[in-house]
Amino acid sequence: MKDILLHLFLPHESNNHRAKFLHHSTLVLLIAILFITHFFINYSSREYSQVLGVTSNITVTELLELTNQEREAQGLKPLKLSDQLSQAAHSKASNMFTQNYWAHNSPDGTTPWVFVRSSGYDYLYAGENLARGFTTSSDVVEAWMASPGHKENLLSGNYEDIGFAVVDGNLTGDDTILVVQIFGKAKQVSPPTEIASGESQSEKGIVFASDLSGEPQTAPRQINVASIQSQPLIDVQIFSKTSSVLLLTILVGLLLLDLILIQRRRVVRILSHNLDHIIFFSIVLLVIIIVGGGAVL
Amino acid sequence: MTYPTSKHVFYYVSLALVLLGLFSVIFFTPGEHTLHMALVVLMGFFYVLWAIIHHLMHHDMHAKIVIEYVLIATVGISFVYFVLTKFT
Repeated sequence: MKDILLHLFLPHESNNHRAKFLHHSTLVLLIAILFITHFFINYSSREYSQVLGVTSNITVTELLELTNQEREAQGLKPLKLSDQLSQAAHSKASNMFTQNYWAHNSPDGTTPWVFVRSSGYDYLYAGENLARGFTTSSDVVEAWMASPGHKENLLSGNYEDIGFAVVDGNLTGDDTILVVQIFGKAKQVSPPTEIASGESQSEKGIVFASDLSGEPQTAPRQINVASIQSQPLIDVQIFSKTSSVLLLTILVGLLLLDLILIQRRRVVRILSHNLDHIIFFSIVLLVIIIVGGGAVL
Repeated sequence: MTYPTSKHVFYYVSLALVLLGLFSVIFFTPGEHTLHMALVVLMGFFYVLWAIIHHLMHHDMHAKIVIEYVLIATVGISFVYFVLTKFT
């Protein structure tokens, strides 16, 4: 047993002074195993999504609850879910997937306010937050709260209503869950002085109403508030990330061990450069740890 | 052949800096998975190319060395591909 472990993991006479795990044949085998596992998971997650799949738990109820929790913690009034703003959020999400963009304004210049107006919501103030690539409602709200522009929207006293869309699709080449959050305050039948000074201010994630003139009203449509939920037995994203981190850490550890032992034993080898492999794998390890997460806009 | 590490300081530092530069682009563009994959492939290409240049300069180039760098780069790229793929 000891000999086998020595042969596999440490430079030794039996493995030509290079751990078997670091031999070219083993690296080729590792690449092959990765692609076979990839193919197997891809097939299984399509055919048996209850067992192998992606854990997604983003619901409008939770998003609303968490948003209002953050507001109430700051002594602000909770926002009311508006069917019209949810309709606007769905139209915006649909437009983003159709025109394939990740921005507040579409490539043809359509602003989010076009969708708000066309939903029939006559606004005094409106704002929009976007998120993609997250798998839980709390992650989405946490990411918004961590970004000053989005936090300002979430905790603005200007808003009274809110609408959400949670839509799954392919955006700019990535399969993702897109979350659109639209805030609003409807125009009141009130003295004109309250709404006369409509200013235009646009920054990341926050825009105030600029056009307060009467827009043609469209009747609010019935909407389907979407949520995305799936709880497979094994979450493939977590599995792939954890196993990759583990295997890469083992590889870095073996390369480090190999480097130290070869230097100490003064073994002359053609393949002696381990430090650059360690640098490359360490950066890849960092990439694996940070990629796959979501983004807010 | 083994060389004192000090002889290779420039190679290691420049390699680490370029890879960290590419990593920082990934870090500051969250959610852009296609871009991330492209950058990791770029990292792999740079890693192999830089190693070949380095070994040519030190006159210790060997086919086995090139194979090793290509394999290490492929392993790294494969891991990121494995993690970035959205299984549906």
